[in-house]
Amino acid sequence: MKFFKCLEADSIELAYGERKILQNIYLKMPLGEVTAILGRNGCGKSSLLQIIFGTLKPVFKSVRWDGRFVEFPFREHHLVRYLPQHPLTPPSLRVQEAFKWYDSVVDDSFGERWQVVKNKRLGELSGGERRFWETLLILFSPVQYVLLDEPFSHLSPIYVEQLKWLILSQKAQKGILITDHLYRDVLEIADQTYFLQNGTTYLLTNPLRDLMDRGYIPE
Amino acid sequence: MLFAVWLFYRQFWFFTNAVSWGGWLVAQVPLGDDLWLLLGPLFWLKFASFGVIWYFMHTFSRQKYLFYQNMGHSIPRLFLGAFCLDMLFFFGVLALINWLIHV
Repeated sequence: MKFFKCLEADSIELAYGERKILQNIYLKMPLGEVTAILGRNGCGKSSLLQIIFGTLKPVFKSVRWDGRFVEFPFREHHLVRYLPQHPLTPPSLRVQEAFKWYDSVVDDSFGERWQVVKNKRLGELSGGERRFWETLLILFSPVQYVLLDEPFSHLSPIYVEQLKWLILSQKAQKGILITDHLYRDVLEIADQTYFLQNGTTYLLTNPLRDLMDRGYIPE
Repeated sequence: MLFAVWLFYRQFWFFTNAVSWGGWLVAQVPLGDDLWLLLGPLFWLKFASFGVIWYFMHTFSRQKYLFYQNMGHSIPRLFLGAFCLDMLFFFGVLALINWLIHV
């Protein structure tokens, strides 16, 4: 099913003192699609996600939902949720409680694994497990958009494969913006890919070739 | 909202209470009419301790806010809610102690 609504990030400018981090950004994230952002370390991907989410204040931004300017997208009812790079949840909270408070519903296919993990505190889980369940917490949220900042980090290959499948299954209901350094996995699930370089976004038409040309991956 | 405030407050309730009860102890545990005189200073002590918490959280652990922001809550609202909860708890317990001793 194709949607016509979209979240747009336009004319974003971020600077720390004299140093410009982002400028002339344009991103279009249609509902029902996976949009990817790739870029080198420190190029501003996480900052861009936080600006779109509404928790980082840039010099200038225009984030629009369905054509309407939204200053603080995270405060809009059921619009967007964000998975940061670092742990998201309070360690004392039980997995089940976190899902309850976020209104996130775990898929039936997790049956036994969910039973094992649901009463554990998030701080008791291993780094990879915690990352996996926090990603699901965001991914299964009843919102229009999820922003995933390096969801594959700390995950074993089997979890990465499962997560890719889950992201694809969730895109029928929402728009997904993802950034990660596992570019092959990202490209596999992305409907459109942007490359962030010198503070500006470039929409890739032939992703692998373009990434080579731009020096992100070796020839 | 209340759950979020409670969860947020749990991160630093020990510190604010330690400061407030410490202030009461330093003032030689006043009760009755003497307690009324101390209410103002205790309020400002609480206010200052929240200022310290706000500064440290804002400087060193801003990322902790994201859990609450994902639920649509703004940080000023969370701090305001936590402050009200803290006041209610501290002055409520203080009033109870005062009442029990004077009954």
